[in-house]
Amino acid sequence: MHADNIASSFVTTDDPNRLSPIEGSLMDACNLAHLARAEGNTAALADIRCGIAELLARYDASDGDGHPHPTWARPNQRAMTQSALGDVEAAINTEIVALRYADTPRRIEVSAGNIADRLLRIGRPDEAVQYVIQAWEAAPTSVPVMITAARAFYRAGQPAEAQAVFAELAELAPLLGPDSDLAATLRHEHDLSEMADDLPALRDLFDWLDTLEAQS
Amino acid sequence: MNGPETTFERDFWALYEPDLRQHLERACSAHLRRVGGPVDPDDMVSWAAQRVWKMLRDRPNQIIEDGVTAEQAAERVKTAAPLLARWAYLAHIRKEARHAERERASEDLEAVRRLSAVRAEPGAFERKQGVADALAAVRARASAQLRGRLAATWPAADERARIQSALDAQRDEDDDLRDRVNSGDLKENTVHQMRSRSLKAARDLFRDAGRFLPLIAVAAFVAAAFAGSAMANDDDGGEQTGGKSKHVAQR
Repeated sequence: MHADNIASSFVTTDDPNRLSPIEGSLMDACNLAHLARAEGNTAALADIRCGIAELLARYDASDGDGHPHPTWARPNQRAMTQSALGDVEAAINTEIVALRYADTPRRIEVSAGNIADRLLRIGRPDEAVQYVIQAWEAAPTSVPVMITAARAFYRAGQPAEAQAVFAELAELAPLLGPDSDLAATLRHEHDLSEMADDLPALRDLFDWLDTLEAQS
Repeated sequence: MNGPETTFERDFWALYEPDLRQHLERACSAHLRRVGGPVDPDDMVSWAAQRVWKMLRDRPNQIIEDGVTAEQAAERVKTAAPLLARWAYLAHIRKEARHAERERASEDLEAVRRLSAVRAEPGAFERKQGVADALAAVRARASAQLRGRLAATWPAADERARIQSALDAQRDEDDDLRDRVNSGDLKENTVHQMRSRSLKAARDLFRDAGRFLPLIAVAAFVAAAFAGSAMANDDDGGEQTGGKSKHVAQR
């Protein structure tokens, strides 16, 4: 699949205060790259690509900017940049390397969840289901993983499973705020708006988001 | 929009100089030292200070919520200093591109800033309605041995005792198994296999409810047993992609 035809994505983290300076700036640059790709803004993307290359070189030169486990962190960050720049197949392969070194539930959640998300973006939902279950077992209460799981079930032809996951999230939603990972995903995940026609619980979630945004 | 300065604002600015400002200066210098790039640190500090002023004016926002005191607001800005430094860096590093109108300046940067402040709310799950029911279902359907194994092999070692309690896995042999796992008496690979088999068995118990519904039940009981520490226990870095996007979801 050509990079221009692959859907863009976005990056969040569970706690922004725990990112190192380079990791934080890499995340911002990747989000800018995803936006530029979504808009087809190739000039901006070229600028951002240079910035990402410089940041990644610094990250590697510093052996992970103080990360306690650079063997995992470096391929994980590299995969994030490859994904943002549209080379999703390379991002999957690099993240598979990171997953081999993922030694905590959080790192397994991040790497396996990212692989699942990227497999969905290139139209391989059955493989995505396998990885997302690995992520879910590592982090059973992770909202991003649950959403990726629901997308994978839906795309793999299991809409009832997807509906069940969204129903769980719809119960959770009233306890969350406008800057929660759930609200951010509903705002940015284009895939979800396509699925909402078939999934009543997902429509409930969008209604919740509308109410939340009207209040803020 | 510039109304008279309120008591809250006067109190906040009294706290800002010099302590909070120095904190922002240090955060900007530290960020720039690590990421490099042709940015003047004074410009970053100035941008961050302006952002603080805006946040104070436009409450509530990602950092200063409604109903906080000036002291609490100052503390929140202090905690968010690294994030403000990151935003200041982003604003200046993209300046040239924006001047050349190659980027949808304010919208894109604001979207990126908003994404950068997104955080998980791991405690929410345990406050959710229905968790107790799911927990009861797991207790009722899973055997004592299975509950003991699920608890003893839970990835976060310091949460195993709480999960044991939540699952009512408190036989002597359950304590013994947990102690053997915690002490390293059992090989890591053995523990990993036991965890995988236990989770699979738990899923099989709920097979009639749907192929993947058991994971939801597992999530519920875990959430009831501990406040999401699997998500928040260990890491500094990492992407958490949520899916493909066309900038903002269009419905």
